[in-house]
Amino acid sequence: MPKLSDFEKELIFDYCLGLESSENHHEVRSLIENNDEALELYDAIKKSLSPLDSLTAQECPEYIVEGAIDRLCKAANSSHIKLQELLVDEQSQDVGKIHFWPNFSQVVTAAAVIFFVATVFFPVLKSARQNSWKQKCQWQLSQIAGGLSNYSADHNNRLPSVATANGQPWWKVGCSGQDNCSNTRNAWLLVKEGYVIPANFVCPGVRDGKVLKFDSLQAKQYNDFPARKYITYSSKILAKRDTIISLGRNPFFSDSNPLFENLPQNNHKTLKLRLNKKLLTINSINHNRKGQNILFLDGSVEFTKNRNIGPNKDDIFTLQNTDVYNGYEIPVSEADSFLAP
Amino acid sequence: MEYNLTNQLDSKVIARFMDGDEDAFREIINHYKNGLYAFLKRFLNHHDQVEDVFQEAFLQLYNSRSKFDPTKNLRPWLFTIAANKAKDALRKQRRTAAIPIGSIATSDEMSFGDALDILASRDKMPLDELAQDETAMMVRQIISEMPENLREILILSYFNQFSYKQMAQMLSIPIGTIKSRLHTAVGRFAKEWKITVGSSKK
Repeated sequence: MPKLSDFEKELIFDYCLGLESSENHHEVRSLIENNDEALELYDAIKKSLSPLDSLTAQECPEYIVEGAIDRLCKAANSSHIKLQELLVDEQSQDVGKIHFWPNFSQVVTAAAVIFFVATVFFPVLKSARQNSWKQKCQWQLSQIAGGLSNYSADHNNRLPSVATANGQPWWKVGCSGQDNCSNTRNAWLLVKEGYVIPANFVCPGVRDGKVLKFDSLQAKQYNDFPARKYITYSSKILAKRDTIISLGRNPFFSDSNPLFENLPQNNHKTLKLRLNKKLLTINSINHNRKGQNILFLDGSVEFTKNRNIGPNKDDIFTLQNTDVYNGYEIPVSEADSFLAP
Repeated sequence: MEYNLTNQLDSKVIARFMDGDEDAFREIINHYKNGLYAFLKRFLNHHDQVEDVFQEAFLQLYNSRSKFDPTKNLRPWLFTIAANKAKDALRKQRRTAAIPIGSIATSDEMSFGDALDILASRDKMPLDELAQDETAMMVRQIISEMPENLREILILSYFNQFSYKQMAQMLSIPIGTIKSRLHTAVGRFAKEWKITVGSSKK
């Protein structure tokens, strides 16, 4: 059997990558079927390329698409603003004789156009932007779910927990001492051990949120998020360390608890908060009080318009039978979900 | 898995898009989003950059729609924009990076014969012994360390299934150069894979 020519080898290479021309398709197939050397080369190339198939494609997250539309709307809006500026410039130029009525009618027309554009576009843009933030927030919570799952798999099925004992505070975010004094320390373990990047703990809907730019070495030197602005989510207060909690529709993370929006700046101060009618009903500030994203332990993320979850309508932001909070109360049972601070 | 490689968009959608119809633009995004997202994920391997380049590519597609010839396929046009944006992002990253990154490694050309020798060598490629995740992680690492020009050709041809002619038009280089770069990219990948798998087994 004659040896393969360079041209034939190139045909086989192209065939393996799906790059052969339609005219050569049958020729190369027949070559592989009838020539042992060709078959051997085909197998070798295919086998060499096969690891590439492990890079499976992921679906594009919807918030990225919404972001593209949002950016288009913003660009269109900035064009309108530019147009208005040009119009104002044009009208402010001295053109000699002033004709009041033509100019007045132009001003009225321009004002009417501006008013119309503003009333039509601003609510649409605002709504598109908020929708985009909501979806990005959901995606971030799903990344936290992935981090929790990986952490649990690496730590004998335990969730990150640094002992929240009765009588210890859980509200002092950024407290750097050795004693546990903040519930956010549990989430920090995910950052510290590289399971979730700090950016995923800042809801895009929160204006005061700030992404922490720590490398892994810096992260290891801390025991908690340095300040509240670096984590704008609330997480479940566990009744005690290593509590066995059921997976499934068990709320674990959510947009920030509206009760604890104004925590004392100084961690040495005391917290005292009494529930009132407003605090019992308002939604998280993260999405303009319209509802909150909740991450459940089954990995699902849901946006809910009210705070009461499950068949018992348990309020995720309060403890049962508790009206006054000093920042160290914990649930009596795991059935009482309490996401704080 | 790849998305919408062959399904062409309805010409009416293209016509509406050319007229600036936002709904048509949304249809175009939905048609190409997964393929483009996958391309950028493999090429950039950095989520923030992927998100930004993805959105910028579609914005430029919309803004430069008057230059598009509607008798041609929109997909190579979109990927050309995206590839250029992705390369700009990498250049920007390189300007600010304190540590040298893989994409600026040299790309010594490999002849077709050399590439075939590596591909056909009888070294074991024990893919079956590795978990899917482990394999994907190693492959991602090798691809991210490839020079940018080789990585681009490998992804466009193998994963996104562009023809030699389309790639030559997209990258504005002769078909001969595309072929030699692809031979080098495939040969280099096979070589690095064998080294990586060999060292991980020790």
